[in-house]
Amino acid sequence: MTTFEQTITREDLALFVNACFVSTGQKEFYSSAAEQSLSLEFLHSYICTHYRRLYTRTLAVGVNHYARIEIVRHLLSSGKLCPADFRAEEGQLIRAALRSLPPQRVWKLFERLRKDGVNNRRTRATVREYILKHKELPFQAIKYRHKLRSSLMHAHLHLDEELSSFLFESGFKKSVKFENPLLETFRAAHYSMEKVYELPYSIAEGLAAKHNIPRERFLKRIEPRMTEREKLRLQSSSGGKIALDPAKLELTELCVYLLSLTFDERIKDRVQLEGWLEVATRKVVRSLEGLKLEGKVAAVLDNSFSSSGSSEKKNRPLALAYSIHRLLKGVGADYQAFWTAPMPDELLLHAKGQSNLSERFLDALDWGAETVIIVSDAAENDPSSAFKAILRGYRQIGGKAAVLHLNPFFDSQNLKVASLSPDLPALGLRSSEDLPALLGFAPFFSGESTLPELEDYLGARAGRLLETLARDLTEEPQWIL
Amino acid sequence: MDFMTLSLTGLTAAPAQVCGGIRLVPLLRDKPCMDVRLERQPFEADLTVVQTSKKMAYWAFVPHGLVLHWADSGEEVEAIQGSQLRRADGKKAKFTWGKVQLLHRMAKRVDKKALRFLPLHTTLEGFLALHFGGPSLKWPEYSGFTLSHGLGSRSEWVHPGGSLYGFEGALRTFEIHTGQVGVMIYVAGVLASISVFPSAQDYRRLHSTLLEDVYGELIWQYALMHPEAQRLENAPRVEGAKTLADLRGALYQARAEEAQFSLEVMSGDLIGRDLRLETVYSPGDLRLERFLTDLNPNLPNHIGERLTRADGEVLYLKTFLLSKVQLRRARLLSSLAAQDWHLESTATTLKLSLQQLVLEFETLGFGYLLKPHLLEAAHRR
Repeated sequence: MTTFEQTITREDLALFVNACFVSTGQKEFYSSAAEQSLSLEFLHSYICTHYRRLYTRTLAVGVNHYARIEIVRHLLSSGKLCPADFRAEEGQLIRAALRSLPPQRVWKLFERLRKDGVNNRRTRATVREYILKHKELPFQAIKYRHKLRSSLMHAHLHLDEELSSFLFESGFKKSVKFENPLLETFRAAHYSMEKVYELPYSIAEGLAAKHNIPRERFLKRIEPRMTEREKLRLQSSSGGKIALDPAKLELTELCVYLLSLTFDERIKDRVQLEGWLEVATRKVVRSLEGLKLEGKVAAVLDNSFSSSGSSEKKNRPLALAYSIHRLLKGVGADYQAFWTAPMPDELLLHAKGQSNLSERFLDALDWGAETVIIVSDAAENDPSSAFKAILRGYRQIGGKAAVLHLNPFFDSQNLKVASLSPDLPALGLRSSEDLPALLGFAPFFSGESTLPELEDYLGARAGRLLETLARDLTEEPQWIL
Repeated sequence: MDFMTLSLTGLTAAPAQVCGGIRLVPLLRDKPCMDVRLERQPFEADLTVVQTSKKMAYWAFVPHGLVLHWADSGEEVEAIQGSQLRRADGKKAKFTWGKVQLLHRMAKRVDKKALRFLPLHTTLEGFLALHFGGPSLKWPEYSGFTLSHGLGSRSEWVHPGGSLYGFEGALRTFEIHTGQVGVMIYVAGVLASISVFPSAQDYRRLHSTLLEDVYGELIWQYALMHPEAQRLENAPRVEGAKTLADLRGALYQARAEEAQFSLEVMSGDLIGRDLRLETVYSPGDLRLERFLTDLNPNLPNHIGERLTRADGEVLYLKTFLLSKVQLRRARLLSSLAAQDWHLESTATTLKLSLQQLVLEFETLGFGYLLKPHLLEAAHRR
């Protein structure tokens, strides 16, 4: 027997987790960055205050980095409200979440906590633990010098003498050498051009400018020290001189890169791009092994003008649609894509025209689809809100096809991921790599499951996250205080 | 076919897109137009002065002009890529406070088959110059200035699209249809303007110039006061559908109904209205005209310009909604002209007393046309 309160709780949670999968507080086609972060801020405060246990455990379900950072921030700034019997688990989950995030986000969080004046004992302990257990602190000290310094001051920490002097004393003495090889290389690179190439790319870049090293020569020699993301970012500006390893790239990012190329470039590098996409697709398909698609599968993919995203998320919705398309092709089902504005060559994909989703949905049904996956921002306009009636009509005439709606856009005005019809809850999705995590959570969006089931699911996910943390933390602290 | 009324011959409407208080209805051309093209000609000047005749000049800020290219019937105009380099017509002058350009005529032939004109300003100039010559007979009530110089000078305030609340966002998020050539702009449910261009390629290039166009004062107020337009949704009626084809039929019917609703109900105040027309230029078989609706005080009145083919197909159209005061000015001047500027008979046609008519002159900014003692007498009573 589910009570009214349980239904509300489940719905609130589903709405919140949905938003956490999709929104990153960045500018979108239909709303500004300020509107997005204001809406999310409200959602976080609301859920944190009312359902603290569930809110904390959301850290374990694979929501996006931005959401994880926001959850940790809200938890740390409202430690008093944490029930006594949950305190230990919450602390562990926060620690586990921070370790799962890229360091730049964590440093930014610590700086934000400092700015907000959050300096309770748990916050200091969290910062201390994160810094103590960090595997490559000298690297962080060089790359995020200012942020690390401010975190240390905020948590009243003292590092070993060498790192302290590196962080807090201005300038180097030419004669005094560091013992740590990375710090020493960094010091030496200020005086030697050769040493620049022994540093990581992002640090070397500034020093290369200091030494007036020509960009081309610098990029050529620094290539082995670049991360795959850095290589991807520099693909166009380096004139294709930097070799990418597609095995390390994520599918959605690759799609964003593809869409950033001109049509001529896409046609010229067709073979190479197809190869990369295939490798990246296979990786996601492997993680989706549990997913079984039977019968004919159709995708209604939105490439209307609104899928061009914003200046901060250029072509992101379109890239998501394309990556889902590659994924479904890769799964190997009997599959057909229905783009809202079809193009003769799939590689020449671009955002254009109106959102005629209902028409394409009918096309897919005419083709005989038994599963229809829709990827769209739900801003239908040819005509508006026709989909609701068409879907209802389809069920009336006895249509049995399963319909799934994935939405890359968080509607900040209505505080939810917009759906095309009340009968078809939308799943918020930012990149196709998150699909396995999202599908794990999917039953709770639609109301097929009850609140106790949701609680069990969250509890189990939290337990699993804590196990990995326990495994990681057996190592000794690295940096002596 | 009656060309004296406003029609959207050759165009059909597509479902509207609403953003905040702005409702945009796409217009699609039935058969593609290949022989006429419009090209934007950006102006740098802060002030444009157009010499319309030997003694008359039009002063305004004009952000851009349009160049019309046409071909003989059956031929195609070359597609326009980017801005064309052309020798500027007119002169330029630079002052400490800004740049001024002097143009010759509102519509001027700049090439063998190319005509430069100033969008909407051609219309506004026509509106300002309405009965500009002043009294046709030497009635004693008019001041000496009026009798020798006519209206002397006239000015009107207009609002650029950029100043309309929410308009920029609506244009940015608008999804241009394949084959779209025009748009009807509604603000808070009121028809603000219709813009039509010859081809879909032109529309795509000129879509953002809608922001540089000018709009009436009323539209500016409506945009500010009604930030949310009513969503008029017409969902397909699927009751009784038996097959997928029925559902598709219902969808297409909903589209058709919405198009009809846009063309017949929502714009009913403008489409089909009688027009007073003035031909500006006749390039080839085409006709560029500026117009004014019938000045019915109970209906919204528009001024505008259009380019039509001999068979009535609208190739280019832009309209501008007059405010109440602008309408009263136009009505007063037209009534005066119709009565040969005789005050008493004009008062009778407008159903006013002579004293009220004199006060009307003053309210509308035309007090300077009459002799001061008439105004004083009207005030005393």
